[in-house]
Amino acid sequence: MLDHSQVRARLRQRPPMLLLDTVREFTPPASLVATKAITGGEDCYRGVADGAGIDGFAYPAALLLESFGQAASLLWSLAELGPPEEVPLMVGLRDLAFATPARPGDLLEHHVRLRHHSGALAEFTGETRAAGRIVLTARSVLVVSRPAASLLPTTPEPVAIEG
Amino acid sequence: MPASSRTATVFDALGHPPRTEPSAEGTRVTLRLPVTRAIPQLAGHYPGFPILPGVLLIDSVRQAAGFACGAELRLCGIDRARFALPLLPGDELELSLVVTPAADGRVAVRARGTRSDGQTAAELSATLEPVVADA
Amino acid sequence: MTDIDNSTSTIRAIVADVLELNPDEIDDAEDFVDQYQADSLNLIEIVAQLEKQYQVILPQRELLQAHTVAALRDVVRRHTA
Repeated sequence: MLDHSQVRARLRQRPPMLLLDTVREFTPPASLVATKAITGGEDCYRGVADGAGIDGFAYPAALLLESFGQAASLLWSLAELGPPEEVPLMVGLRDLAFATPARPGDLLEHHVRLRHHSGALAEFTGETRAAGRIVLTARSVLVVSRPAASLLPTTPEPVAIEG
Repeated sequence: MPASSRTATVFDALGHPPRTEPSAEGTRVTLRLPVTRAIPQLAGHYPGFPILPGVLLIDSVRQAAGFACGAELRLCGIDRARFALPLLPGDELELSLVVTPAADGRVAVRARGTRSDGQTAAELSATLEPVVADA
Repeated sequence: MTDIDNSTSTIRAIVADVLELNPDEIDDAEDFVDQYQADSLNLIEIVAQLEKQYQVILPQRELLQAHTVAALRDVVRRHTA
């Protein structure tokens, strides 16, 4: 449905925080299945010591959630819930359960559905599956879209990016 | 980051060592978190307008709670999280946690992140459990 | 007028849930922001819950000053007739 170049065209996140690969299905008006493959080459495994057991390669919950949130952002974009120059920001979470973590080799499948939409606000629900198991259940992810320009610092400060 | 971790890492929130003190409810933990701790992540979130990803705040709470418990913790559930203000480079957050023991060896955490101007930027209530060490 | 009583207690329960207060602690005439330290995200959360509860979209301009249970009940009533 959307390959990775099309995913990039709709998301503003970039590596190391671009955590979505494809959209497999979009079912109008407002549900989708999006995927991310987890590999051993991810940034988060850079510091894992040699000899660590497989439990050391549990995919971090924070990144799993960010990936789910990016799937919700893509649904916001595909369902045209707001203008493209606005950025959907995750502002609220209710009742999330993280089950046995995913690992390198797993394919995350985010099943995301729109629950409510009003103006700049959208609420999503869904779950993430990997290797046939549910790894994340999210009852409510609240998103508010804001114009990108409004998110710039009022007094711009240069940010040193390590090169 | 040196290849010395036993688990995957997202970023290191503990540049300033957390302060811990016992409280009536459990352990109170305070952590100063400058947004620039996450500079590598901010480069991609987002190019041209860096905003601290809310998930890194959640991971900061996990790290601070783990420091207080003396154990690596894994997130099991989030009852509620709120990200009321976007956090930008130059902002510094004071994260204040109350860590309490819960059933089955888990810990419950309630956390609030306050910006330097005193405004509440984020709140989190979550359940975590120690990562079982493998050989 | 049981429907008004019902909607008042429903709205009070939604506000209490979002602000993490006991419904008994909420005075229907008190401003959420002044009295209960609600922030702008709390107001968004309250409106989202109300809209789902009553299956309506509440116009932004009518919500700007509706910071009490009583005022929200009036907005909801106008749009659920």
